[in-house]
Order: sequence, then structure tokens, then C-alpha cells
Amino acid sequence: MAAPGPRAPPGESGGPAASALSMERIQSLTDLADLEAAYSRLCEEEKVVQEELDSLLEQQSTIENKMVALHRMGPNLQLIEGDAQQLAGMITFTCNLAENVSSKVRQLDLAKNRLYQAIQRADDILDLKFCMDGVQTALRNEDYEQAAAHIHRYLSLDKSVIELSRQGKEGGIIDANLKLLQEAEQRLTTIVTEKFDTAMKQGDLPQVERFFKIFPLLGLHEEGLSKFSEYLCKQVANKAEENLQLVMGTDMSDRRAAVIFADTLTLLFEGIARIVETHQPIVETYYGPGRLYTLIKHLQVECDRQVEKVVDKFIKERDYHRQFQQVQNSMMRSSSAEKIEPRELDPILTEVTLMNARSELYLRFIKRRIMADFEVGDAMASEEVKQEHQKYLDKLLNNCLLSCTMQELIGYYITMEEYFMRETVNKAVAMDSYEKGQLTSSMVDDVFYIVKKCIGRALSSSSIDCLCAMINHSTTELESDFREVLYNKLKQGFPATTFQDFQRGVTSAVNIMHSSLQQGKFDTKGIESTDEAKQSFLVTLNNVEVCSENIMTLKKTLESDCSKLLSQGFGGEQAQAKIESCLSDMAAVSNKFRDLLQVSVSPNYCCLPTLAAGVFRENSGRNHFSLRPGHVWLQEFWVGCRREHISQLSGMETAPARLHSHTSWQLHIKHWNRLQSQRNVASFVFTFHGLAVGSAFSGKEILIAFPSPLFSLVAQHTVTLSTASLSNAEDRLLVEKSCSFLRFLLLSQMQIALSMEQRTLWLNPVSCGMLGPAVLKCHSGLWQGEKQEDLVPHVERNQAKENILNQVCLCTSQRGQVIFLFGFAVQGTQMASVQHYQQTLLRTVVSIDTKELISKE
Amino acid sequence: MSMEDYDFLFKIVLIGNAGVGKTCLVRRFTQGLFPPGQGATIGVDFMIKTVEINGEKVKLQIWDTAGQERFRSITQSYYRSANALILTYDITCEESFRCLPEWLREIEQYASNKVITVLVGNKIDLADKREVSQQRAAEFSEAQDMYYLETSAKESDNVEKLFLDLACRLISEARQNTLVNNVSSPLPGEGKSISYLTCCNFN
Repeated sequence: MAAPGPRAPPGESGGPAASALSMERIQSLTDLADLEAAYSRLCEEEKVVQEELDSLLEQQSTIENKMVALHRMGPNLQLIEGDAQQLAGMITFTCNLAENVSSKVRQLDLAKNRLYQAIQRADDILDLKFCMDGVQTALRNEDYEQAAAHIHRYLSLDKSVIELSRQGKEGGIIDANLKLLQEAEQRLTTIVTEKFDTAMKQGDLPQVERFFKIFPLLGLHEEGLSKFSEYLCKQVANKAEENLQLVMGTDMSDRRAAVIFADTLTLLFEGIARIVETHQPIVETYYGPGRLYTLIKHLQVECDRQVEKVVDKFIKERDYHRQFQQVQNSMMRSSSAEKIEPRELDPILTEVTLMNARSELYLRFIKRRIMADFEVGDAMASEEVKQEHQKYLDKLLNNCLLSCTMQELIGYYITMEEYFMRETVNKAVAMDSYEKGQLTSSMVDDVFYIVKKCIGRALSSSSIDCLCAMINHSTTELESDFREVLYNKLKQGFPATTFQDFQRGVTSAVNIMHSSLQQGKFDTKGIESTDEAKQSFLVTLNNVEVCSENIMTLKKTLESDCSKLLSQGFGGEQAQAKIESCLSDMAAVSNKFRDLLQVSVSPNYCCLPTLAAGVFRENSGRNHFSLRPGHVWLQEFWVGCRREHISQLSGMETAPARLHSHTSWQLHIKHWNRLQSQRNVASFVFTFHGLAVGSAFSGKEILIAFPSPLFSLVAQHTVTLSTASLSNAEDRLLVEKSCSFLRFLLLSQMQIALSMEQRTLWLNPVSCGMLGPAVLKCHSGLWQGEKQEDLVPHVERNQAKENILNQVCLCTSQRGQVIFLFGFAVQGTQMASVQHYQQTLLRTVVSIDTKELISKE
Repeated sequence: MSMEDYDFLFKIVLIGNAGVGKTCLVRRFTQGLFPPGQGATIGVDFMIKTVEINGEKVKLQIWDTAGQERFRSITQSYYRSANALILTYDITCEESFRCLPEWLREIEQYASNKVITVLVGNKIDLADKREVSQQRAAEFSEAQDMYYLETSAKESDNVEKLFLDLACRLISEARQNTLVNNVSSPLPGEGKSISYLTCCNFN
């Protein structure tokens, strides 16, 4: 056991057990050392105990003082206890009192409420009595308004109150009174209905309105509106009948005769609108807001009935269905025998769109009125009720016979309008004429006038769907039919001087050229025969381009027209998106026309004149050739076509009056320097009919033209510059560059021709000479299905002339599938004769000095 | 999303008899709604939804047409510019199926020959009222070389699939066309001109 702590509590350490060493243990100690240790520990313990005792004694006085103080507090505590008991008594008393008071108040409140109820009931009973008396009196005096007011008061009484009243002591009397009142109500209803009917029959508007105002007082809102509408409908019907009679008697020479049915509808709609306008305030005042819908719903039934009559008459009088049938037949069958004359449709189409426009206007008016009325009436209503009402309105507008009838008429109209457009466009194409000096022919203006007219008419119907449908049809008409016309014209191509011309012309070409050069100008004799065809081709190209522009203009015009229509609130929420989509389809056609230009001047059609301009760029010392895509072709093309002859280009002719949209691009040789200032443009090469015919170098103002033997036109007017005739090395270098470029150009064309599986590619003997068999080799791989061995190149070299110009090579496929002639080839010409022409042609190559040519200017 | 923010734009036109559920199909797909008590469509409705397929944004312009006869001349005008037509019938309505040949004649007459046509039998949630068997419709669509699918606009069955599959087909079709166009591109300076340089040496 461990020794006890030195601070053991003194009070408890009385016994010997308090020591860590028990007596038994001490007695059992035998060893001296142990005894000594025990002794010393006991001594220590004694010392500690002594100390504790001392400190306790010290505290004695403090404790005694505290005891005295406590004794003194004794009586005070007794006082407090007494007070506390008194307080408790008071609280209990107050509590009981409060409880008593509040129960009294509750009782009072109850009594008050009952009193109020009693007063109310008394009031009601008094009212009932008063109403009863009043109704009787009023009825006797035929003061129906007063009677209705009493009934209204009775009807607005709390039904449960009346019920309670009947259970009272005087229940019998009240019962009797109620019965009387109910009888009076029924009587009044009957009287008012009767009086209303009478007034209606007599057309006595003040009386009608008088009784109309009474219905809502009797709680008969629906009946009142229905009755009143009946009256109004009768008015509408009478007026409509009158108007229709007038229509039948209309003289055909009348100014409005052509739109008389549209006018009749207008009168009908205006009549109804006026009625709504006039009577809306009464309905609003006496029936409250939100009731206009009911009134108009009734009116719409009559409107539908009258519309049906007018439209039936219209269909009959104007033979609408038969005309539609005829149009449909004409569209189905290709027989032109019984085709309906589009001009005959013109008035009826206008009238139908007018009819629809009036209907749309009327429906929009109704919609606005009802919506505004609902808005006021539903100000406090839940979202559900609002949607419900909106649904009612939509249903009324969409399902009314007027809408359906008009949709039907417009359905027919669209088909007929489409027919009208197509036939009229066909006519315009057939009657196409061109006046000298004009850039385009008549059909472009005519066709766009027609398309504009048809879309404009569809627009005037105010029906967005109708408008979109006509935009779609116009897009189709322009994209397929009309574009086809132009495309076919272009396909005929720029009239290459016919084979006969060629035969005749080649020999004379030399003479002409000689004489021309001597006179300093070219004679156009011999090329007139194709002038007209050439003109026609060029006009067609202009037409195509103007069409492309016109479509964009048309789109823009329509956009602004449509936004006007939309801003007036026509069309649904998607109207804008719909129109935009249809118009963007139309705009896409503009690009398709533009593509037509591209195609027509691309090597795809060998028969077309392709005056391509390659741009030769000096690129950091290394020659780099590239053909500019798209528009560059066109720009240069105009130069070629308008001037027609390369020689004229060199002859510094002034530009033609106006070139559509390319004016800024006119390539004047005169302004060559300005062109050159566009830094990287160093050289131009012109090709004609897929043939490189000329190359112009800006720096030296040298024009080099290469002969193109297949087209006498070109042959007549082109000159060849042989390198031999160039006096200095620099010029020679230029020519060589030019040739090099030509080679590139030809290769491009060849490649394209191959990829297009073109049967024949016209090439220039001059350039072919440069290409030689190497080209064949390099391209034979591209010739799918043809082995290289199948290609039989005929290469002739004129050894006598050292220059590179006199080579012609000819290549045909043995399988006969592909005829590929380098040098020249003429479709339909016997192979045997080829060599002959070749010989002839080579003789036409004339050499002159370019400087001489330029100085002629 | 801006107007031009897409890789492909396709026009899809829904056609078929009145009341077969064209509008509900479109609403379900574009808005995720199935509006009960849908009124008859007037003329044409127009909705746009842009979807992403294999990382490419495809804008679908969906034209929901009225099935009623009197709107035919309006709806017909939309056929030609359509990339795809969804020809819809109601599996619980024999009549709507029997009219399909008539609709096909319309397609033949007005639509582009490149148009993709999908035959859709709607309302499969009303299985107990089915009048047109799946097999019959499948045979018909096969004979007419059309894709065929049964949907429920109400339960949203196959609706996503219908439009997304169609979008995929349109994309692959569009890709093929571009390929063909590139090969036959007659315009110089487009694509190939550089390669010529390698076969003839300019110095």
C-alpha cells in the first residue's frame, strides 16, 4: 500500500488507521532498519498533522464571525417568505379575473355576430318583401327595368339566408313571398323575351336594346346575347341579301364589275364590323367584359352563311371551278389544244386575292376586338382560364366557314396563279426580241415583270402561306424552267464559224489578213453570217447575269413588302421565319444563274467561247502560273466577247457602251499600264474556244496572238509572232514565257477535258508543238480504261522551220471511244482529211513583227 | 446560337393525311411536348432544331404541313426544296395508309428526285386499335424503296431516332454529292491546278 497523501482531510484522520502504517504492521516489524524507517515515516506524518491543526485553528475566528452574521439574517428571511405568499395569492386572483373577463368578451362577440346575421336576415327579408312588392308594382306599371332590378336584387341574395329565413316563425310568409318572386321572375323573363321578339320583328332598335339590357339583370347573359345576336344577324342577312341582289344587277361595264364579289364581301365585313363597333359598349356595360366573344361567335355564324352565299355566287358567276379544272387539265396533260389562255385568268385571280385580303382584314379585326375584351375580362383570371379563352378564339377564327372557304379559294388560286405565271413566262420566252444597242433581250424584263406581278398578287391576298407558296413556285419557275431556257441557248454556244466557213475561209483568211494588215484594220467580210447568232449568245449571257441580279433585287423588294405586311399584324408568329426561308431559297437561285455563267465560259463546253485569262505572276523570281477561278474568267471573257477579236484588243478599240457590272473590269490594252500597276499581274493569255489565242505582256506592250486554225474568225484576225522575228533577246524571252504559260494553260484544259470525259478537245497546233508526245505520256495515265498503247500519236514535224510553232500532233483512241486530236480535229471529219487541213493550216501561219503591229495603232 | 452557326442545313417536310400526328411528331422532337387536343394545322408550320451529330451541327428546318385537302396547293410548293420528306400515316387508321400511293404520286410529281423519303407509322401507343400491321407497312415501304419506322409522338418512341437517323442519312448524302461535284468541277483554279505544275516544267 502506498503512503497516504500528506493533505489527507484532518477531520477524518482521527484513528490510527489514518496512518499509512497499521499497528499490526508496526508490531510485526522485527528488523531495526525497518523499524527506523517506520519511525521516521511516522514522525513525518506527525509533523504534517501538526501543521494542519495549526491552520485550522487559525480559521476559527473567521468562521465564528460568519456564524454571527448568519444568525442576524434569520428574521429577514421570515419577512421574505410572508411577502412571497402574499404575491402568489394576488397572482392567482388576477388570473381568475382575466379568465372571467375574456369569456365575457367571447360571449359578447358571438352575440354581436348573431345580431349582425339577424339584421342581415331581417334586411334580406325586408328586401325580399320590398323586391316582391316592387316587382309587382313595376310589372303592373310595365317598368321592366325596375322589375328586373328587383329580380336582380333577389337573385343576388344569399340563397342560404333565404333558406334559413324560411325555417323561422314567419317561414310561411317568406315562402309565399319567395314563390311570388319566382313567379314574377319567370313572368318577367317571358315578358322580356316576348317584348324583345316583338321589337326584333318590328326592327325597333331602341326597344331591342332596352330589353337586351334587361337580360343580364335576370341572370340570362347567354340568352340575352343570343337573342341580341339573332337580331343583329337578321340585320346582317337583310343587308347582305340586298347587296347580293345589287351584284346580280351590276352592269358589266361598271368600274368595279371585275371585283364586284370582293366588294360585296367587303360590304358584308364592314357591316359586321360596324355592328361590333356600335354595340360593343352596350355589351361591355350591361354584360361586363369578356362577353364580346359570345356575341361575335353568334354573328360569325351569320357571316359564314352570307359568305357562303356570296362565294357560291362568285364560283358560279365567274366559273371558278371550271376554270380551275381547266387549268389543272392543262397542267397535267401536255396537249396545248385546250389550254386556257392565261390572260383570261388575270381578273379572277385579282378578285380572289382581294376577297381573301378583305377576309383577313376582317378576321384580324375580330381577333383584336375579342382579345382586347378577354384581356379586360381575364385580368384577374388564372393562366388556365386565359389559355382556355385563347383556345376558344383560335378555334373560332380557324374553324369558321369563312376561313375554310377562303382557304379553299386560295388553294385553287395558287394552282391557277402558278399556271398563269408559267404560261405567261413561256409566252415571254417565245416572244423574246432583241433590239440593237440593248444589252438584254425583252424576255428578261418580261419574265421578271410576270414573276413580280404574280408574287405581288399573292402578297396582296394578305395570306402568308399563299405568299410563301407563290415565292416557292416562282423559285421553281426561275430555277428550272426559265433557267433551262437560258441554259439551252448557252449550250448552243457562241457560234463557232461553221465547218463550211472554215473550209472556205482558211485560204481566204490569209488574204484577208494580209490586206487587213496593210490597211491597218480588219475586214469583217465573211464573218457576218454568224453575227446574229453571236449577238444572241452574248445577249443570253447578259440575260443570265441580269436575271441573277434581278432575283436579288426581287428578294430585297419582297423583304421590305413583307415586313410592311407583318408590321400590320398579319400572319402568325412564324410568318417572318417562313418568309425568310422561302426568300433565301429564291436568293439561292440567283447564284445558280451565276453558275450558269461560269459553266458557259468553262472548258466544259468546248463549243462555247472561253476566253480565259491566266494571270502570270512573278513570284520571288520563280515563275508561277495559276488560273484565277470564277469571276476573273468572266471579266476577261467580256473583253473577248465584246471585242470579239483579239486584233481589236490590240487595235485599242474603245469599250462597248456598257458592260453589265463588269464595267470596272474592262480590259483596255490602252490601259495596260494601269493594269500592270496591280503589281503581280505581269501577263495575260487569252484563249478563245478553249484555245490559247493570245498572250499579252505588259512590260513591253507586246501582244502575241497565236493562230487558231479551227475558227476562221480567229484565224483571220490573229497573227503569229515567231521567235525568229524578234530582234532582241529580251523580247524572245517574253515570247518564250508566253509559250510556257500557254503550255500550262493547255495542260489544264486537257486535264479538265479528260475529267469531263470529253470526246474532243480543240487545241492549238502552235502550243501542241510545244507539248509534243511528252504531254500525251503524262496524261495517258489519266485516261481510264485506255491503255497507253491504244493511243496513237501522230506527230509531224516541219523540219524546214526551226521554230517551235509548226508542230501538230494528233491522237486518237483505237477503240474509237475517245477522239483526241492535238492540233486540230473537226467533228465528223474523216481522219484522212485531217492531214490535209493540217497542211493547209500550217501555211496560214504568218510572221510579222509585233512592234510593227503595235505601231499601227 | 447564331443563324449561321451550323455545318449542314436540311429541309424536312412532313406530309400525310390530316390527323395522323404530323404536328405532334414535330412538337415532340423540337419542343419535347405532346400537346393534347392539337387543332388542325393551317397551311404550313415551321420549326427549327439544331442537333449535333458526330460533332457536327446540323440545322433541321422542319416544315409541318396541313393534311387537309384544301391546303394541298400550298404544301406542294414546299416539296421541291425539301431534302427529305416524312410521309406519315396513322397505324390505327386504315384510310391514312390507303392514301399513301396518292401521296407518293404527289412526291413523284413535285419533289426533287434526290429527295429522301421516310415512311412513318405513328401512334403505336394505341396498339390495341392497330389497323395497319407492321409487316404490311414494311412490305409497302420496301416496294417503294423507302425507309420505314413506327413511332409514338405521345410516348416519344422512335421520334428522336426518326429525325436523327434522317439527319445522318442526309449528311452522308450531302457528302457524296460534294464529292461528285468536286470531281466534275469544271472551274479552273479550283483544286487541281497546282498539280499541273509538276508535270510540266517551267523555268
